[in-house]
Parts: sequence; structure tokens; C-alpha cells
Amino acid sequence: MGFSTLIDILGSSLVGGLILLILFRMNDSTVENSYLNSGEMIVQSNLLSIIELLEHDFRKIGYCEDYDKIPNPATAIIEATDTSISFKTDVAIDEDVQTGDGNVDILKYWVGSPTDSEVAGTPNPKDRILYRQVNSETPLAANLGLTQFNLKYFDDDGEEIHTMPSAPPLGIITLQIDVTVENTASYGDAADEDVYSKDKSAFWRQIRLSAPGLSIR
Amino acid sequence: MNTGQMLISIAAMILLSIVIINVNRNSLTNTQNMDQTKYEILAVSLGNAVIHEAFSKAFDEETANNNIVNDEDELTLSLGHESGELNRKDFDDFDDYNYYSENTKSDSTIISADFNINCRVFYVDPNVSLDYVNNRTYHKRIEVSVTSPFLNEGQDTVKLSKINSHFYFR
Repeated sequence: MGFSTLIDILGSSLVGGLILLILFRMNDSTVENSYLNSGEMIVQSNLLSIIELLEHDFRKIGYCEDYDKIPNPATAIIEATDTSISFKTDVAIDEDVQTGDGNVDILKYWVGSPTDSEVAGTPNPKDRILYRQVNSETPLAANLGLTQFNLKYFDDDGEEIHTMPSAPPLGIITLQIDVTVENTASYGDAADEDVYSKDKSAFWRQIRLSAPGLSIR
Repeated sequence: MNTGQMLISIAAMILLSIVIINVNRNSLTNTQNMDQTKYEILAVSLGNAVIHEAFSKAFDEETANNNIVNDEDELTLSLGHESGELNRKDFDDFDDYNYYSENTKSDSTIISADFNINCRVFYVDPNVSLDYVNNRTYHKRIEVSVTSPFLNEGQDTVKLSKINSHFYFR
């Protein structure tokens, strides 16, 4: 074996190695992108699920199939804080029959803490549970990666209500919902909260919702 | 390495480069599409917010103080905000949003992209046209257009529309 042959072998090995490195990197990048895109899609669909649920329930504030049972819809909101709300409504009989049964229900939404045991095991340190409770039934909860659930309330003049009256009517005509959703367990997790995940992909949605029952004009 | 081997090597390298460039392009396209979807969702939410807000107001200036209108001709002919209603929060009826426009750049709570929101309000008649009619009816349609440089480089517009009908019950 001559010296030039040795150089050829070494050179081709080097080039082959470089090409392999490129292919490995490309493969890694493709896998990462695939995870990131899937994560984004999960976050976006989770957000839409939350919003669909909230819009469905909140627009029925003050609604009752037997309207005599809520004669004054302005008194429908019973309790309101920046992270919870409780109101009178008539929950749909089932998925197919969306009208209520004619009995007034109390529907309550509130958000848990990021330190609750239900979310302690998730890699995302900021996610929390959104609870939905009908009357005194067991609250239903789902971890969809909610990291922010803030409510603001506005009166007839569009002014924000900072101090709620002690009892209904609370004077709420519209409410604004700020929702942020993140991935509960995403690609590239890190222990440090600030660099939690590459596909943290947090974004929020704002609705200034006005339930028809709250303003009959 | 003879000339033939050299040519094969060069061809292989070119092929590899093309594959890498295509993979990279596909990856970027996917990411761009995902980001755009995110902005579209936000645009829809902003448009919805305006529509919901408009629906919380009175149907017409003439019904703003719980007045009952018995004839369509009693409604406002000129759609738009009245004098003194300079800001969005001052609007007291549905058609005040006609020609209302807003840019979210000054809103510090929207940190991702800036959106332009434009509103139009028309009278519509279900028996004639849902686009617009020139006469006064008990139905008004709000059309909200949301644009952004981030929505397909400013070429896409998210357009939402909803009809508000005046009714009085109980």
C-alpha cells in the first residue's frame, strides 16, 4: 500500500465522517422540529378546547329554559374574582340536547395553583388546573396546560369594576378572559424555569364576552 | 483519485446538499405555518372580542336608554359614533363601531404581533341582502377585519361578521 493510497483512505474517511455528522445533525433537527410542531399543535388545540368550553358556558350566564326562574338576569353572576366566577345558568341536559332542564344550576369556574399535587408531576412548573363545578357535584378538572386564567369585569359604561358589591347584582355587563396555554410536557425540557422548553409556545387569547342575558337592550 | 471518482464524489455532494436544503426548507415552512396559525387564532380572538363588545351595547342610539322603538324609521340612518364618543369605551350602541379602527401596537399586553382591526357596520335585510341595504331595518351586520404583517406577510385578512337583530322581550 503506497503513501498516496493511505492519504486517499484517510481523506475519504474524513469526508465520510463529515457527511455522517451532517446526516446525524439533520436527523436530529428533523426529529426536534417534528416534536416542536406537534407540541405547537397540541397547545393550539388545547387552547381552542378551553375557549370553546368557556364561550359555551359563559354566553349562557343568566339563561334558564324556564325563564321565570331567573326573572332578573342581572343577578345571575353570584361571585366574581380575578381567577374565579360563579353564576346561575341552566346546564345543558346532554351533548345532544343543549337546552337546559328548566332548573337553575350554579356553575363555578376557578383555577388551581401551579403547586397543586395534580400538576406537581408535570415538567412544566407553571401549568395549573381549570376546575368546572356544577352545583355541588364533584368538580371536573383537566390539565390542558393552562398557565394563566384571569378575569376582568366591566360595567355598563365599559369601566372596569375593581370592587365587587357584596351581593348580586354585581353590575357586570361584559367580562374579559385572558388565557395562556403552554405545553405540559414538551421537547427539550430543562430544570431551569426560564428555559423550560424550546416549544414553550405560550400565547394568550382575550375575549370580551357579553352574555346576552346580562344586557337586554 | 481519478477524474471519474472525482466527478462521482462531486455529484454525491451536490445531491446531499440538495437533500439538506430541501429538508431545511420543509422544516422552516412547517414552523412558519405553525406560527401563522398561532397569529390567526389571536386575530380571530381579537375580532371576536370586538364583536362581543359591540353586542353588549344597545342596538341603536335611539334604544340606548332603554327606549322602545316602534318603527324602523325611528332608527339612526347615519351609522357611526356620535360626537363626544371618541374612544371605544365611550361607545353606547352597536353601530358606533362603524369605521372604528385600532392598532394593537400600543397595547402592551399583546406581546407577539401587532394587528390592525377595522370595523364596518351595515343595515341588512334578510329578505333582500345580507351584504347591506340602504334603508333602516331591525338588523345590523358588523364586519371586523383583522390584518397583520405577520399574517402571510400582510397579504391575509381575518374577516369576521355577525348580524345583530333588535328585539325586546318580556
